[in-house]
Amino acid sequence: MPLIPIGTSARGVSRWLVFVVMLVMGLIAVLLSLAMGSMDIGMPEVFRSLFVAEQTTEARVVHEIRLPRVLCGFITGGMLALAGALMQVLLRNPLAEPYVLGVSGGAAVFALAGMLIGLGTAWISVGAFIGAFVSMLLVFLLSRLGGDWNPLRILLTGIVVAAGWSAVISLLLVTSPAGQLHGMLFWLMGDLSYARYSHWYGLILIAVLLACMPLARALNLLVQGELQAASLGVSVLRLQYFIYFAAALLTAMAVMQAGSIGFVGLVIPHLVRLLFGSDHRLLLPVSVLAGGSLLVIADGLARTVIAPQQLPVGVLTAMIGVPLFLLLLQTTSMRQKP
Amino acid sequence: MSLLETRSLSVAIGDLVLCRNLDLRLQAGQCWGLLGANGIGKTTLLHTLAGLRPAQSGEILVDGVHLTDLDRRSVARKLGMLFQDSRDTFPATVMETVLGGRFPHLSPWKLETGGDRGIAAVSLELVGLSDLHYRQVNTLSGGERRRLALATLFTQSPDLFLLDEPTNHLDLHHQITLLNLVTERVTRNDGGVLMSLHDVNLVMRFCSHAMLMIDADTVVTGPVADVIDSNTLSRLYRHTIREVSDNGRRYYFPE
Repeated sequence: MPLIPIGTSARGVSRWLVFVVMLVMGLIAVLLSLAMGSMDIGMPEVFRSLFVAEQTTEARVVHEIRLPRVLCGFITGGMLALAGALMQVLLRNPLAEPYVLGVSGGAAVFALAGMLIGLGTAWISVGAFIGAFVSMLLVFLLSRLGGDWNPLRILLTGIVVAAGWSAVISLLLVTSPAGQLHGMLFWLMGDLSYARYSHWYGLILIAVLLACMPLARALNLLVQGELQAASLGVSVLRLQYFIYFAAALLTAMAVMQAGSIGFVGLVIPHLVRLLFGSDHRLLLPVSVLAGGSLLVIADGLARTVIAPQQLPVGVLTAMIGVPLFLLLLQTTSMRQKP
Repeated sequence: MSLLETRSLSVAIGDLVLCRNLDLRLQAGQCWGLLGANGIGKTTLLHTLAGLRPAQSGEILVDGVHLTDLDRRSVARKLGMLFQDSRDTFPATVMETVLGGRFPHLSPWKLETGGDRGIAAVSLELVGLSDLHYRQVNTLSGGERRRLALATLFTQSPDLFLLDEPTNHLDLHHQITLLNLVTERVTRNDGGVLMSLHDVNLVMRFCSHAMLMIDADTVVTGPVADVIDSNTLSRLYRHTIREVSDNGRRYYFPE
C-alpha cells in the first residue's frame, strides 16, 4: 500500500495537489542548493541576487557559477529518474535503471578515451553523447536481429553489451597515466563540474515528459504484460520503441552532462511508487521533480562537505537516497501487515 | 454477418502447425466451447484470433472486417481476451486494474470520468469483489485474481469474449456463477463467447457450440449436441470417456 494512495482516489484534484507540492519542494531544493557552496552565501543574499540586479561578488557567484550548475543538476536528476521509470516499464523489471542497457558504459568509454587523448571538456561531453548513442543503437539492433523483441531479450543483450563496455573501461583505467586517473574516476562516479547549462537541455526534458503523458495510461497497462496490454488496445511494439528511444535519449543527455550518476534512476521511481502508487500519470512527472530535487541537494552537499574540495555527486545521491529509501520501505511494509 | 469468421486459417509456432485451414463462423448470441488435449494449441489459437500473434495463413474477420485492417483500440472494443494467468511486477490496486478495461474507450488525454468508475464498480460487484476496491492486487488469492481479470473484461465490454480456461483457480460455486454471468451477459447483448475449457460437462451446460481440436487437420466444429459424444471425446483425449445420462442431460467422465 503506498503511503498516500493517490492512484485509488476518485478525484483528479489530489493528483494536481501532489504535483504542486512536489513542484514547491523542487523549488525549495533549488534555493537551498543555491545557498550551499564553499563561499558563505545566506538565503537572503540568494534571493537578492536572483531578483535584484546587483553586481556584488555574491550575486555573481550565484548567477554565474551556482545557478547554471544547479539547473543542470536538477534537469539531469529529472532525466535520470524519468529514464529509470520508463526502463522499469519497458523491461518490466524493478531492478531496471537508465544504465542497465549499457548506455552509460558506451558513453564512459568514449569520454575516457577523449580524456586520454587530451580533448577539452566540451569535446568529452560530445564524445559521451556519441558513445551513449552508439551503445543504444547497438543494443537495439542486436536485440532486434532475432525478430522477436521482448523485454528479456533486450535486457540480456543490454547487460552483455554493458559488460563489454565495462571491460574496456577497466582497460582504459589501468593503461592511463596516474595524473588523469582522478578526473576519470570522478567522471565515472558522476560529477556535475563538467556540466554546461543550456536551455535546450531543459526543453528536451520537458518535451519528452509531455510526450510521455498521453501514453501514461498505456504504460500502466504495459506493466501487466505485453499481451494483456495489447488485448486492452495498446499498440505495444510502437509504445516499446518510443519508450526505448525516449529513455535512451534522456540517459545520453544526462550522461553527457554529468557522467554516470548512480542511484537516482533506480530508486526515485520506486520511492515515488511507495509514496503515491504506480499510476504513471502521476509517477512520471513526480519522478522528474523528485529526481531533480535529490540531485541538487546531493550536489549542494558534494560541494560543501569537504569544501573547498568537492566530492563526486554520485556518492552523495546514494548516501542520501539509501537510508531514505530503506526507511520508506520499512514504513510501507509495516502498514501492509493486517 | 458473423461476429467472428475464419477462412482457411492456419496457425503455427515456428514449423509446428497446430491447426490447418480452419473455417469457423461464430454468430452473435452463440457460446462456443474449445476442447483439446494439453499442448494441442488452444491458447495459441485464441491468441491468434485475438490478433495478438500473426496467423501462418488465412483470414480472420471480425464483424466482417479483416482483423489486420483494424487498429488495436478498435480491436479491443470488439473482442476481449481473458488470459490463463496474470502477472504483477509493480503494485496496483484492484480499482486501478479494472479501470484498465476502459482504455480502448478513452482518448489519451482524457481522465476517467465518474461514468467509467461506475462501470468498473458494477463489474467488480458482478464478480463479487466490491469490498476490495482499494486492495493491492498482489494480496489477492488465485481465484480472486481470476475474478478481477473477468471484471476487467466486463469493464472493457467487447462484443466477443475469448476466454482461456476461465474456470482456472475457481471453486465450484464461482465456476458456475461466473460462467452463468458471462453467457447471460453476452447472449443478452448479442455478443459471443469462445472459451477453452477442460471440463466437458461445463461445455455441455453452458455452450451452444463446440470446437474440438483433435489434431492439426481434424478440428470438429458444430452445435454441442451434434459434435460431442463419447467416441469423439475418446479420440480427442486419447482416453476412454464414458457417457451417463441424468434428468435428460448427458455427462462425461474419464474411465
